[in-house]
Amino acid sequence: MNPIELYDILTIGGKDGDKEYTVANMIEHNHATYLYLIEVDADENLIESNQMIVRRVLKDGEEAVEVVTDEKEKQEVARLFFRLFKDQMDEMNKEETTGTEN
Amino acid sequence: MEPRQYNEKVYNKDVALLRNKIRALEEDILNGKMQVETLADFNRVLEEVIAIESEFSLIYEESLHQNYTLDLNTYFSYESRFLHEFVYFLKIFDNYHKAAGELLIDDATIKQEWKDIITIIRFNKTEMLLEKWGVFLYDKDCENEKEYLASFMKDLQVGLDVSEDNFQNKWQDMVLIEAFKKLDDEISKIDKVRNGDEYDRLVPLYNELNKEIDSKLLPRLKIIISNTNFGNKERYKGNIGAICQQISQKNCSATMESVNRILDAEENPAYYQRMRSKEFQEQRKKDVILDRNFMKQLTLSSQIKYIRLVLQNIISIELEDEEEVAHVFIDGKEYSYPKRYQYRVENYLVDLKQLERRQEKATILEESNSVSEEKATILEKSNSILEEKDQIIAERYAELQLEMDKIIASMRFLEEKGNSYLNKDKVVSGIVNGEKISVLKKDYEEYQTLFQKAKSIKATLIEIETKNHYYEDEKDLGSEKKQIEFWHRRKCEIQKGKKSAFLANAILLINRLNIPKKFQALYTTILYDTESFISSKKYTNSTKRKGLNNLCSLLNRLQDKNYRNEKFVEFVENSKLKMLSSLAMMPVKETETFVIRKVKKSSSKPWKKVVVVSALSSLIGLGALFALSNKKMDVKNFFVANQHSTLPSLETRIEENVVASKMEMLADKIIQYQKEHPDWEMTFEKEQNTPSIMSSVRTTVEQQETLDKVEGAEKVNMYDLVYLKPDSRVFATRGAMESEACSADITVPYQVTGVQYQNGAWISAESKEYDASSMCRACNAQENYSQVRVRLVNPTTGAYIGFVGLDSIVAQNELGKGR
Repeated sequence: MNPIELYDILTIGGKDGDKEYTVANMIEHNHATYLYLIEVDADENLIESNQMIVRRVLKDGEEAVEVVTDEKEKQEVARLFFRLFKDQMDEMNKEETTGTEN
Repeated sequence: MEPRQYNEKVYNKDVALLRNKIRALEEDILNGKMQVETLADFNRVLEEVIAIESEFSLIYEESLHQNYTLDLNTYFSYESRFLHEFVYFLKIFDNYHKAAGELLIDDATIKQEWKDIITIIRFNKTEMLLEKWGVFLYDKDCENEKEYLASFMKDLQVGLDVSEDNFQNKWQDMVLIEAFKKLDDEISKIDKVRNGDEYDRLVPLYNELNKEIDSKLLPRLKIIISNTNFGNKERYKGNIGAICQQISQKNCSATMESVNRILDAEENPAYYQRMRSKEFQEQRKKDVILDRNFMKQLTLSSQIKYIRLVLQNIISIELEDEEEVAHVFIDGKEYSYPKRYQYRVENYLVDLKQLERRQEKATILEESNSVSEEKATILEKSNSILEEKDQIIAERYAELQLEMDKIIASMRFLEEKGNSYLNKDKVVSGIVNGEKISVLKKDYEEYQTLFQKAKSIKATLIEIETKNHYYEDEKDLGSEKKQIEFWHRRKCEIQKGKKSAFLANAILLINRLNIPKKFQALYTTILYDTESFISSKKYTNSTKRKGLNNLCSLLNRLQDKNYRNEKFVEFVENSKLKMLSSLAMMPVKETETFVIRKVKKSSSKPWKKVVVVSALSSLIGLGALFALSNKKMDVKNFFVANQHSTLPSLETRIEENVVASKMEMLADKIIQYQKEHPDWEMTFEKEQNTPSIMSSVRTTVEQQETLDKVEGAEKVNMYDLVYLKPDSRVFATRGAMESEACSADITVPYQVTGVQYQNGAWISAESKEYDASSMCRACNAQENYSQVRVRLVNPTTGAYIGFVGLDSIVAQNELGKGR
């Protein structure tokens, strides 16, 4: 399995079959990796109504993600993601104004 | 004093007592036991009601602090809404008294006001009934709902027949409709020529059901409409129309019209047969008398053609010798025909005109709507056409006002010149509008021209006002009719009201989509009350998740279809944000683990920003929900203040910087809050005395003293009179459209009556939601003054001027304060 990077497309298998998600953001927190996933369709268009915060885990030796269920943990991580997104937004705006974006 | 032992039992008792108290209050008010005839009476009632409201708040607080299981908002949904709306209207009237001064208030006015309040309250009850009924119609599979609605309807007795029996009838009605709809589908599929037997079997059944519906259901709806007893029923057309359409099923099939025609033919098969014959068709071409039965079978445009044909036949009749002649104008040309047909011709012309008008209307609707077969969408579009028309009139009105202001300013200038001129020989004096004025002889002609211009503009303004019911100032309200209209408009401005019309429309549209019935019911439930849906134990988490996800996609579709109706889009955006927030916060009890099957690089399309914004928007919703979780502030206020419910569709409008700035604005507020309150946790735990985000932001900004930092900026408050700096730009805003309107007259003082934030949200001075002046101070503390605009109004005429950046204004004084 390739290492996961930002904006990669993950094919995730669940009860309802395989779905594709993009990694909107990722953080390391309390010795765990959290991913902010947004579903994408076949053309890689975002399905913004389906977003989730997950933790990377190993399940039966396979790489998997686990939906964060603990409210406190989720809120803590959500706050971290919030700051991260905010910073990214600032950065993109700066890039746009200075015209350095590729 | 010893604090009393408060436990859940005492609490429940308190709630029950209070509930009874509100019910009793309502009964006294609506049954006329509570008479209000003088200002003293009015103040007494106000005090009494406010006391009950405080009691309500206390119990509410208590429930939060003690974490009682009873959700007061749900339990009290009816009473709390009644109470809060009642207090709201009482306060409006109270403010009106204060503004008008006691001298202006006589007993007759008080009596009239009281009558108005009662009318509004009654009106709201009917509205609530309609809303509830709407849900009932779509959610009929739920037994609990049924029971709840039965008790609700039993409670409501607002002149409607809502007894238990009648409710049962309604239940039967639903079965009837179901049968009808199925049958309608069946019939539309049958080819009557090839499959005559089946057709013959179904049509009488259909006919019977149709009659049942027409005789039982529609009269009941008519009762509802006639019980909507407040003057202007316009607002309810959508709501009632939605239900009517659903019930009468007039649009449940595209083949309805043809089925109807077939049914007519069924009732009179001999005629039908004859009608289809060639001879019959040929005969119609020679008609000089309208065959009304034949006409019934025709479409609108064919009916028009047929009347024209008959008229053509009449004017082509050769006149006999010495026959009396009559004349008629058709399409601007004069024709003569035998006088013996005069009565008929006149009648046919009236019919023709009516039909043409109907056709014209239908064409307009069709043109304005790409999805013409959806009646609900047509309704939406026709509303937007009306809005556009209103907008043009409003713009014209504003233009005229501006022109008028300019003329008046020029006249004042000439008057001042004349008044201050010492050589009275060179001055002409006269009385204008009861005031003595003087102008220089050389200016007299110019003054006269200006005076005449002002007179004619004033006449036009008055005409627009009367035709369009513009009453810019409450003090202008003279007649009873005007007052009722004014208060009705006020009532219409309440967001809740607007929302329910959109809600009805969204529900209607969802029910038009080709999706299974049970999902339609589910989506309706979610749309109607997302919070209750999330907390409901009736649905599993996975159903909830799926429901929210799918509804989001549906809303996107609805939004695309209705993109021209800004208000509808706004409503949809708001709902979507609610869905997203709920989705992000949905508690997941069971651990859901998904295996990663594949990791691949995304294609090279530049959607990085979309991802960030999309995720951020969801998190902002999350943040909003965190803030709401302390229950100190309701959803509506939060969105009005922060988002103004406009998160533009990311796919289509991502390039607009405004998306980012709106989100940043909110993000900043939340981060600011975090800085101020490092102990603040994003949590659902109910902390005592945790202030809401908004009040905190307000305090923080108020504490900042950055005013002096920006050159030329003065402290500006609501109602201040301000002058504009030269070269100021005035923006006239109409919804989301914004255009640079004009350069305002810098010599005339304007009054600040609202604030518009960088994110598009705006606060009116009349708003009861916020402490308007402190919000205005908050604006002053913004670093970039041009990003915050204030709304200006000409205090003399009350005319709306537009918005200007804070950096464009020079505060004059605070004379206007405390209007």
